[in-house]
Amino acid sequence: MHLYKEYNADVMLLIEKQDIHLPELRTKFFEDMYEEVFPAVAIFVRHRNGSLQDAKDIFHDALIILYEKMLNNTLPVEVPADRYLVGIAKHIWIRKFNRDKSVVPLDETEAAITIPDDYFPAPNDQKLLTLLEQTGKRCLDMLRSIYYDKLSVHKVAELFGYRSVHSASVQKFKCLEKMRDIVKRKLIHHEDFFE
Amino acid sequence: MRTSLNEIKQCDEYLQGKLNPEEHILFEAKLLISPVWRFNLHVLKQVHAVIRLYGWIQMKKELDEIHSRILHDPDKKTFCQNISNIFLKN
Repeated sequence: MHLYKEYNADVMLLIEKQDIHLPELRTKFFEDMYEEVFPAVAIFVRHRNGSLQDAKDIFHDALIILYEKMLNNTLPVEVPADRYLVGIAKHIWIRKFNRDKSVVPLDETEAAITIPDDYFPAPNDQKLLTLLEQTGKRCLDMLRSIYYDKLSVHKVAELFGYRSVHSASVQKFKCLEKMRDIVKRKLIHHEDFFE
Repeated sequence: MRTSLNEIKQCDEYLQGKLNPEEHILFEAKLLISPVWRFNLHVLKQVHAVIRLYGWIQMKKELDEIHSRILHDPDKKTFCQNISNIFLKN
C-alpha cells in the first residue's frame, strides 16, 4: 500500500504544477487508487448486503470527495490514502442509506473525517444545469476548469487556446454574465422553477 | 472590460474572498443600499453552484469510464476475479 505521505508528495506536485487537471495524470491517479482501495470498499459494502453497483457508486463519490479535498488543500497529511478513502466511503454509506453511525465501525481516524454537507447535488441545481447547457459546452468546460478544478487563468488560457491571460479572463466573465442573465430571466419570469 | 463585466468581476471576487479589506467593505456597503446588487450576487451564487454540479457530473463520467476499463482489462483478470468473488460469496 502507498502511504498518503508518498501520494501526498506526488499529488502536491501535481497540484502545484496544476497537472492533476490533465486527464491522463488524473486518470492514472484514480486507476492506482482503484486497484489499491476499491476491494476494501467492496468488502465493506458487501458485508452490509450492498451490490457491486452500490460499491461502485460509493467509491466514485469517495474519490470525488478526495479529489475536491486535494484541490482545496483540506486533506490531512498524516493519514494513509487507503484508510482515508475507505473512511470517506463509510461516511457516504451512512449518509446515503441513513444508517446510524454507531452501527458502522469507525476508528478514531475515520470518525474525524467529514464530508461536505452540500456534496449531493440539489434538485434545483440540476434543473438549472439543463438550462445553462444552452450557453455551450466550451463555456461550461472553461468555468469548470477555473472553479471546480481550480486551475489558474494562465493555465486555462493555455488549455483553451487563448492568446493571453487577459483574453481568457474576459471570456471567463463573459461566460459568467451569459449564465447569470439566463438564470435572472428564469427567476423573473418563472418563479415556480425554483421550488 | 465593459461595465457589466466589471460588475460581474467584483461579485465573483467577493464570492471567492479575493477582494482586499477596503474593497470588501465598499462592496458590502453596495449590497446594503442596492437590491439590484444583492439580486445579482444571489444569482451568481447559483451559477457557481451549477458549475460545481457540472464538474461533479464530468468526474462521475470519467470514473465510470475508468471502472469499465479496469473491469474489462484482460491484464487485470486477477483483480476483476477478486471483485467478482466478493459479491459471489453468501
